[in-house]
Amino acid sequence: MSTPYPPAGPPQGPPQGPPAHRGPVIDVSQTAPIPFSRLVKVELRKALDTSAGFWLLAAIAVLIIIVEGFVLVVGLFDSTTEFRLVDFTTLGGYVLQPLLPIVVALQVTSEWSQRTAMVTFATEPRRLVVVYAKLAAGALLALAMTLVLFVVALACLLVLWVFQDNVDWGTSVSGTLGLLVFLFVGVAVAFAAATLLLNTPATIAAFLAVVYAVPTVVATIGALWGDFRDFGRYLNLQGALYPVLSGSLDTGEEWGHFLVALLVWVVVPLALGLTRIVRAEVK
Amino acid sequence: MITVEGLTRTYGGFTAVDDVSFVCRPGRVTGFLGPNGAGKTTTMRVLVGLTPPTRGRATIGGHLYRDLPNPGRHVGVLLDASAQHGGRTGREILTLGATAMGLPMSRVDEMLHLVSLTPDEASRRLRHFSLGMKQRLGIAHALLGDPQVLILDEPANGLDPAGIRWMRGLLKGYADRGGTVLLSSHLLHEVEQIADEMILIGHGRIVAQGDKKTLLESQRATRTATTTVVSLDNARLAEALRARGLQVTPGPDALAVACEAVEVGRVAAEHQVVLVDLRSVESGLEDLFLELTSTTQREGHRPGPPGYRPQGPPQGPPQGPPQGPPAYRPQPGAPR
Repeated sequence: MSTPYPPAGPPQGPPQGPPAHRGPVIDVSQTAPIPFSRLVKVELRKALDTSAGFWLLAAIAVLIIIVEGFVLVVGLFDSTTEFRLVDFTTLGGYVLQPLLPIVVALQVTSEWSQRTAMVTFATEPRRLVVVYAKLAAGALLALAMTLVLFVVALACLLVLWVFQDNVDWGTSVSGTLGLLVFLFVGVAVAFAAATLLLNTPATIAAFLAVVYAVPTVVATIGALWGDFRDFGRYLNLQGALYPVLSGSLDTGEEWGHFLVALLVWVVVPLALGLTRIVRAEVK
Repeated sequence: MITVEGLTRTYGGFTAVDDVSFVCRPGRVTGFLGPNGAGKTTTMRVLVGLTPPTRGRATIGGHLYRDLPNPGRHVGVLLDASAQHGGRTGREILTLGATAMGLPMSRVDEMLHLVSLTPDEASRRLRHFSLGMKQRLGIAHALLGDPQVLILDEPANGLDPAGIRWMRGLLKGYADRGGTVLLSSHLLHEVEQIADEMILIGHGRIVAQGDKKTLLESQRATRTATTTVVSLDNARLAEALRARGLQVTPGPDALAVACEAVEVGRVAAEHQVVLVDLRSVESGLEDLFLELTSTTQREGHRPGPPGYRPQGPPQGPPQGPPQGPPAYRPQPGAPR
């Protein structure tokens, strides 16, 4: 018996599923994905378009002006001391370090507390891309606030120069970079905590713990228990950041402390947080 | 255009959606109807990729939602009108959507106009919106990208009767232009007014689906006709009807008789009883809905049916279980 040719395939019928299930297909070939820049723009807008977000940023700007203005007043009455840019920016930096991260963390956590994540992820289902856009927007906000910090500091220096002429115009590039790193690490810690916890109060508590409580505790234990001291330095973010802020990060050991602290407090929680967001059921 | 195949979603030991399959066609408004907690919202959330399914799949126009580039341009979604930042104005919420989708800002005004939100209302913050205004804003947001498919969860919730009528017109027009609409509700009369096709769901399982007429007819075939009658001498008429072997249930003013109206009329004519009112009882979708989902209602057994229907189960010839007759799709292992 000859083999029929072409070989008998499976019975002919509806190619896939019953006919009723093969509704018209939507042609998406003409639709471009949402570009990343547009997502960043939306996230920046979201940070500023609520009264809470706007006034938080405005309050930070006002605080910077108050703190640097205080240094200015001191300078106006103290003609013997030379004032440098860093005298203003460091103090302003200490204002920004606890507050800026909260602004950025809110970008993530408010999606959950206000339940806007449903709309956000229905508009752009690539959740990781959305989180990266938030990170980029947070970084831009941090940069903008740092710019405010420097502009106010420069303005104060100009006033001092005109009225007291007690200004040292020398600036240290490494010190300025150090300040930026110091601020951005704080932002990164809060952002990582936010993705992991997805809850505003818990994120703020975790951020304050990592940046302020843990260093104190670790240093205290290290003072009492010598064997722990060297190990503890790797967990002490504030201590690891100090050489960065002062622009004196040079020894391998300091680099080690800095990088390990970043790994423990930023990279690991962020990786876990991103996994959580991608897998989460958005309610 | 919406295809759901064998969709199941479990939470631990609880099955929220149990092997659900259905199709929503272009040009039709499909109503997704079921009591609270029946699995409507979970199904819709899986459709738009917010909840991962345990088994099965759901596609829109042949694509998984997450594979759609710029999905707002293809699928309009409204899952919860209140899930927006209370501190944003209505206009700002639409502006964010339009920006993300890459639409001209004129689209925001067009949509606000379409859903009849005045510029004054649109400039209020969402926390000052009434539920009806939130629903209108949510519908505006869903329509922003001029999508081919609309997925709306309880969109009529909070709308006043005029608002429901407005939405019916809007969705009808949208479907007539070839759009696909899936909307859910736990209120039958809302869906009845708006939907062409209906999917009834209870306890995570689909208990019936089809268009309104098919659903009613398949139900009628399985029950005995019921007639209510009011005459000048109900007692005598009841006696005469009983003598014919018909089951009669006396009500406060009327008799309910388990037969066609013509039969009652004939008996009345023979005995010269003056009829005041004679009508066959159309058991509406409401009864069908309650019956089909009765095993899944929180209340357990539904209360006796309103009107003059005979008490107890219909007296017709034995024809299988009263719930879930074969015409609706058999339910192996029906929920407790």
